[in-house]
Amino acid sequence: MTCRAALVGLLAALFAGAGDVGAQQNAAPSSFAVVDVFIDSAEPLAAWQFELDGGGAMQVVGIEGGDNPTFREPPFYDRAAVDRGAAERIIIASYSLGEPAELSRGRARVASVHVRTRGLEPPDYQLRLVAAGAADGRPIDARISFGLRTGR
Amino acid sequence: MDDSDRDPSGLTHDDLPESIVARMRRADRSQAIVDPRTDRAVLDAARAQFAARHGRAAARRARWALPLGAAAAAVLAAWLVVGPFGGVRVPSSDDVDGSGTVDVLDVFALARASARGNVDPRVDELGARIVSLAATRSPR
Repeated sequence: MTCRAALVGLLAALFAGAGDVGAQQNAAPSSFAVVDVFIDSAEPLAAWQFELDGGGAMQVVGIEGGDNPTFREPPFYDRAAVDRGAAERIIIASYSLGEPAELSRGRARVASVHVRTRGLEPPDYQLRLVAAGAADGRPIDARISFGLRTGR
Repeated sequence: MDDSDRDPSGLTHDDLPESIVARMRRADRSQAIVDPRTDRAVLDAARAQFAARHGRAAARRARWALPLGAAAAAVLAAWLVVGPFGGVRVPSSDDVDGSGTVDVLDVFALARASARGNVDPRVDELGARIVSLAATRSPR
């Protein structure tokens, strides 16, 4: 009788613990957002590379190309890390062999990063332009910025 | 008159009073006479002493020269790699444009060369490498 009581108590404790974990997981808010990345360049932009870091509070779930159709190929990024759900930051790069007249000049969306965020507050996004280049391969000055679209 | 009678000033005994000459001769004899063999022995000993000192100094230099040169070479190499202004230079065959860093501009340079007919299979490979999260560190 005593053993049966102990076993019941043990099972009750285990179920109670599992319930707590489930409750905690449900309590941790999660949402999806889209980070639109823009590069502003006075010269036609032929190549770019940037890094987006969510400070451990985001997970990249997908990458979308930019507005300029001359960037025909999908951008370079660590697809394996994204597929594993292990991309808490992302480095994205692309180039176009199009003519300078076809390339974007001024502010243009180069990519959109789809992310899953954790916590009530939006992540502290850190965006860094690694490189930007002209059609002849020269590095050029450019500014990078992002816009956020959120949704549950 | 022989040479021993000639004074360095050019005067001879005939020009000096005899008493002075006698005193000078006594004084001259009181000085130590350096035998040529003694002179040679002192010279040989001095040479031997300085030769030994030179060897010890050379040995000291040889002992420190190698590690000191290696340390200087390491410091110079680090300075050349890191750069005087803090930028990290990556001496790599992937640095196609010679900028000191490997990024999309190197991939772009390979792609432009491929577009001119020299198809380079490294384009996609290098493109994948520059965005690899495992190969790069977070700046935070």
